[in-house]
Amino acid sequence: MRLKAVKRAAPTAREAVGMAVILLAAAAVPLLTTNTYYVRLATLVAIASVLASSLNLIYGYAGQISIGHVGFYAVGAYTTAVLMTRYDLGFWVPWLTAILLTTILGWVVGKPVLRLRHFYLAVATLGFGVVVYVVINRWNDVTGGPIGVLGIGRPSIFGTELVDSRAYYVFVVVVALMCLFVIHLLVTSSFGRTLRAIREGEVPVASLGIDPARQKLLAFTISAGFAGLAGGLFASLDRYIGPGSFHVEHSILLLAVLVVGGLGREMGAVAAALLLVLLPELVRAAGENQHLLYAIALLGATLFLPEGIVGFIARLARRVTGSPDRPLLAAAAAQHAERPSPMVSSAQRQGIDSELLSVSDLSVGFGAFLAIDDFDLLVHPGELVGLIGANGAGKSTFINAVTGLVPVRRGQIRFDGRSISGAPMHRIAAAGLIRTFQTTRLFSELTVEENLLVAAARHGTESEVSRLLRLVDLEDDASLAASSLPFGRRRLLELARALAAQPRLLLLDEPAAGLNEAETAKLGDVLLRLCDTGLSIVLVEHDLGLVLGVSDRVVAMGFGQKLAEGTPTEVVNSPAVIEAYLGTKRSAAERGSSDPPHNPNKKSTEQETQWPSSRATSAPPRETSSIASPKRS
Amino acid sequence: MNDLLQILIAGLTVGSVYALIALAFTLIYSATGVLNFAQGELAMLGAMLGVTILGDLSWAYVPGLIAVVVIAALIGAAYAEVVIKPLRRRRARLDIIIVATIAVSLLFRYGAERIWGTGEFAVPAPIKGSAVTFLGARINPQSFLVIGVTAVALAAVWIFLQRSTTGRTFRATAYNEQAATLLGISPARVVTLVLMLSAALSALGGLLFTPISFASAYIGLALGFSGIVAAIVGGLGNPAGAVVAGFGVGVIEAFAAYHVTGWQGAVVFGVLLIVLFARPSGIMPGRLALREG
Repeated sequence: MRLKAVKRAAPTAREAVGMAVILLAAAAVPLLTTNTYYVRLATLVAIASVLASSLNLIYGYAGQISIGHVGFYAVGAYTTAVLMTRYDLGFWVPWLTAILLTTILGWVVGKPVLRLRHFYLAVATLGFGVVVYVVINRWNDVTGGPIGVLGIGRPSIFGTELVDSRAYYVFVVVVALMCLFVIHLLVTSSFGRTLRAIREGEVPVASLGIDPARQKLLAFTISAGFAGLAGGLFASLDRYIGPGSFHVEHSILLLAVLVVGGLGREMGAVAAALLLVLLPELVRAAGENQHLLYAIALLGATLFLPEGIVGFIARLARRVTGSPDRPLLAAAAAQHAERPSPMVSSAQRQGIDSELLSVSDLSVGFGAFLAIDDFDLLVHPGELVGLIGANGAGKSTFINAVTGLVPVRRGQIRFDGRSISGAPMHRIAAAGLIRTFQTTRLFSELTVEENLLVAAARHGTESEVSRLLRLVDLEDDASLAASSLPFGRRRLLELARALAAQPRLLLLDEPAAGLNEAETAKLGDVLLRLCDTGLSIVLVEHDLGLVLGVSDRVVAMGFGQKLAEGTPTEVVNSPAVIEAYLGTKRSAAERGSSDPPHNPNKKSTEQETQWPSSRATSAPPRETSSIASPKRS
Repeated sequence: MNDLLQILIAGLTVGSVYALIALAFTLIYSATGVLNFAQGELAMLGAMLGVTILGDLSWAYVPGLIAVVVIAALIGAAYAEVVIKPLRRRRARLDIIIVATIAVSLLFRYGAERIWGTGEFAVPAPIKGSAVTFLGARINPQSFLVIGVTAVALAAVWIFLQRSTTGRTFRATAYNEQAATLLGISPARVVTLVLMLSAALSALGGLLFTPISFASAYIGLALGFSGIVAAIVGGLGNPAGAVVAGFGVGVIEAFAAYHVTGWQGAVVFGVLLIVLFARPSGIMPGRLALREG
């Protein structure tokens, strides 16, 4: 623990150094120069830092591209300017109105636009930027059209207007630092972690009971508000604004410098602001070639600095100090680590005889193909149901349908007495139905610990995370990036993440695929312990040794239908299952054999002795699962 | 009615240019997964090369057009070698690649500004004479040339993609790059060829555009916007969708310019946003592209 505390200090110290450098640089400007031109540039850098940070929040952290962000900046600037010049309201009321208006506008625009993905989102936000630009350019009566708005005042503090450029500079820097601090708090909070998870995939986020659409919209709304705030500061800077400052091209440039500065890094936004404002000044010396030089600098940065400038500096710093650049276990986790806690409350365990999940007449199809055809399944509290079947039998589709990932064509799915068919994925998950994926869908750029924290944050159970990590033997890897784990351990991490989401029913899609024998045995052990706490599990797995060893009840599927159901022994001896797995019956029947269908043939009797015995009939899974699983397909 | 036809043909004329640029954009995306934001600047280069070759050097139209297209293809090859391939080799993130193409677009624009200056130029019109009357509407004769050449170019690209071996390797790569590689197709070669074809198509669009409108170093931005928007709304990765949406954008823009002059940019995007909300994957969701993006 002490070691961890020491390691934790390193990134904080570096952040502090970065912050101190910015503060010193910011403070030095008015002391070093009285030249209004330089002071204006420094003010612009501060404004651009807020604007770039606002874009960083939605694009860098949440991964939602916005190529129209200057549109919000423009609305903020024009609202402030128009209210200030038309009505004698001073600066503060128009400015706060502008912030409020852009925040609301962010919600109004974000609500429909964020349904779109990738390039479609890019075009929609670009469209917003274009519409704003056209409106400020053409709505002459209000915006002054191409002429713009003249005679904008400056804010007054204690009755004194900040006419002096250095006074206004100080004001802007103070506001900008406050904004950066608020954004810092946001991105380092559980909200920021959820945004970074969304950046990597919305389906796994929804599978943990979090509504990605809501989180994205919240980020977009906040981001728009900050952009509007920056716009208001800009309006007062030159006392004049015109459409030229808000062309869509500026949005694209903003995006470009953010990527070059370091996307998804707080200092990246500051670097972007410096680039945006100062690089044109630096290349100005090149005279007519300045734009060309700017383009070459930008291209060079993308070709040679893949992690952006701040990422590059961070890597250099890592090489020098040798310290890791990772957040570490929260102190709270260490304190509460030893507290044992049942997965399911005793209140939930009382209805042990009732059905937790009841699926009836379920059909799921893709086009003309029926992947699941009239399938029924009941799961009781605390029960572990194994679901077996050949590839294509419909097992994964069953999980996808129950959790709302694929639409149901027909049938009823009830969870805890309430119908959940047709409900959105995150709501089903929030009800306590948590799944894992056949191909793991971890948040690979987040650390092992953060993967769990994303899931736990919804319940405020961050303190349980270290216990769950220990459950799957991952506590030593807590601060590693999830992508650096070997395959088998990723599966275990996904299991732990699902548990952190406080499931009442866990749907596991081939959790043992890629695990070695020892890991599989350990997994079986963990599953049994989980069931003892009252958790219900549906286990889809090809490793029959594992399934038969731990399941209370086994259901065999074939071609979307139920082939057999019962205790593990009953199911493996069922003629339908033997036929599906070994194919003997059908070929016998096709040959016109006289074998009666209910009489297991010799082969199946042999098999019976080989199947590992079920949990009900003794034998711990650690031993049984070491028996080679027959017919692993 | 006559007005209607007149606006429609004007829209289809500009739409031809957008269709070519959109097709070029979607082809690059299909085969490489790259969103080339420099697409409009390649069209601008076509127009400015036309200014030099057809104007200053007074070449005849057909050899001049061929020369412009060939030079553009070479620029496309250089673009592939210097920028796209190194980034792909490094497996750069998509946003880095996008920014690189934005940087290239600035490079083209300001490079053109240094070569040709900031002025506006007129490329000599290949068809002399004033507007002709067609079904009662007064039509700029260049319109027939633009629409005609575009139709030929689109047909040629379609036949190339469907029938030629090289075209098939494009489609195979777009469908599944790994599988295509296993079949002995070199993705590197496909990248170069696609960028050459795409640059040639864009330059052709820019060249055709100029007798209708002035050429300058700054026309690439607007042309690129319209073309890229058409490619995405058409269903990114779907060549037919790109072409249809390209013409659509041209026609909407022409009607908007007639009825609400000055607001056409907002109208075009307004319509496109509605289309996107109704069909979040574009008009014709990309069959060519199964990329996750």
